[in-house]
Formats: sequence, structure tokens, C-alpha cells
Amino acid sequence: MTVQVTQNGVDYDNHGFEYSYYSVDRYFPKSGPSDGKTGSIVVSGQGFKPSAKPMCKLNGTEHAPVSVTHKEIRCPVPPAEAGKDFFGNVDFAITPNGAAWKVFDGGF
Amino acid sequence: MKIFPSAGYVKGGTFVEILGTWFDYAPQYGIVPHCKFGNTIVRAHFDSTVRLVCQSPAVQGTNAVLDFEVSLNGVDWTYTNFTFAYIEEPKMEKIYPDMGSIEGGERVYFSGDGFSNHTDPLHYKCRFTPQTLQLPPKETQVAFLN
Repeated sequence: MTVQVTQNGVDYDNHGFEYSYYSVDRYFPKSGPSDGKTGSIVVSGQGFKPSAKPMCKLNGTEHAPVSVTHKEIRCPVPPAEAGKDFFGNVDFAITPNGAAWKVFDGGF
Repeated sequence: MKIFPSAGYVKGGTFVEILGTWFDYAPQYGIVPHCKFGNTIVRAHFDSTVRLVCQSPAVQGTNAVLDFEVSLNGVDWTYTNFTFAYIEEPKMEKIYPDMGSIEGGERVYFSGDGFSNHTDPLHYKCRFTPQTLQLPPKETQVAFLN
């Protein structure tokens, strides 16, 4: 998609800026051992791209994704900050574009 | 009578629409519509008795707000107090972010130099045009930050 700006309602710029869209569908798994041995959380959707600098956020801490493809963002799962005996939910969110966060209900 | 737009780039070339009544074109009687941007007179395109179109001439300098008038014979001019503002063409360097959710509603920032706040904020817009789908462009309002 091309995005242009006009200052007078008539004359649009011709810089050729491009804008794309993404969608976030689901993530899996939604739980794992507190020692972080889950591996990674796979977020499925469409339109992801590494150049947009996507990030993951688990329990308020940001992490760079393990990998990014057009349809998947894989987020690392470190050991629980509260220790290996922690049991419960923590917040989980991603930003596919490095700007807007998608917070998942239920967390991880 | 009203005009749109009331601003354009210093390089000129902006098509300015003048809506009114009793416009005419009868060169055999010397009736040939003109527009005047400051002291520069240009021929108007007679579209209908209610619509003229003039192309803004180039000017030197920026941020000049010039009187804008219309004449049906190039001699007798209206006194409308309309103005036409000349603005610099901005140098746009970056868009951030360059992708957003299909749900919409996310802000998109353009950085660069030479953005003007001398135009009607209602006419400051973004236009999103699909490249692959045969869908009409969508326009959204822009906020001038600084």
C-alpha cells in the first residue's frame, strides 16, 4: 500500500512510502514450566516482517524474537523471574511493528 | 464564491478550483476569465458557469500569503479578501511505523523537514492507496506536530 501526505488537500507527495498491514491470530503454547524450558511461544498471524523490529514482552520484560517469518513470530521464554517454583500467569504481549503492543488475554 | 485549495507549493502547478455563479467565457466579447495570485495574472480554465480552475504560478520565497482574485475580463477584479498561501514542499525522510494492524487506528509518523502549519488543518491528510487490490484510496486526517 502506498501512503502519501498532502498539506493542501490536493497535492500529494510522491516519495513513494509504503505501508503494510499485519494481523495477529493466536499464540501457542499458553503455559509452560517456570524454568523456561518451554522453548518459545509461537505467535501466528500474517504480514510480519523482521525489518519492522517486532518485539515480545513477557512479564513486563522485552525480548527480541527468536525468529520472524511472514506468518510467525517466535518469542523466547526465559525462566520465570519469580523463580523456578513460580506458578501462575504473567502478562504476554507482542509488537509486530515496534510501536503498538498487542496484549494477549490470559497471558502466559 | 469560494476557492479550494487556498494553499500550494512555491513551485506552482496547484489546480485551484473557484466555485461561484455567473462565470462566463465569451472571447468574442472580451470575456475570458483570469485569476490573480498577488500580482501575477494567469488564465482560468472555464469549466462551467459555476466553476473555474486556475493553476498557481511559481513564486520566489516561501510562506508568502498572497491576495487571490478573479476577473472575467482580466481587467476588473473581484475584492473577495481570499488569499492563497505558498508553502515549501516538505522533505519527507521517514515513515514510522511502516506497518500496522488490519484493525486500523494506529498512528503513523512522518519525519522530515519543511512541513508547514500555514494551511488549513482540515486539508492536511494521508492517503492510503492499495497497490494490488482494485480498491479506492482511503484518506485520514493528519495532525501537525512541530
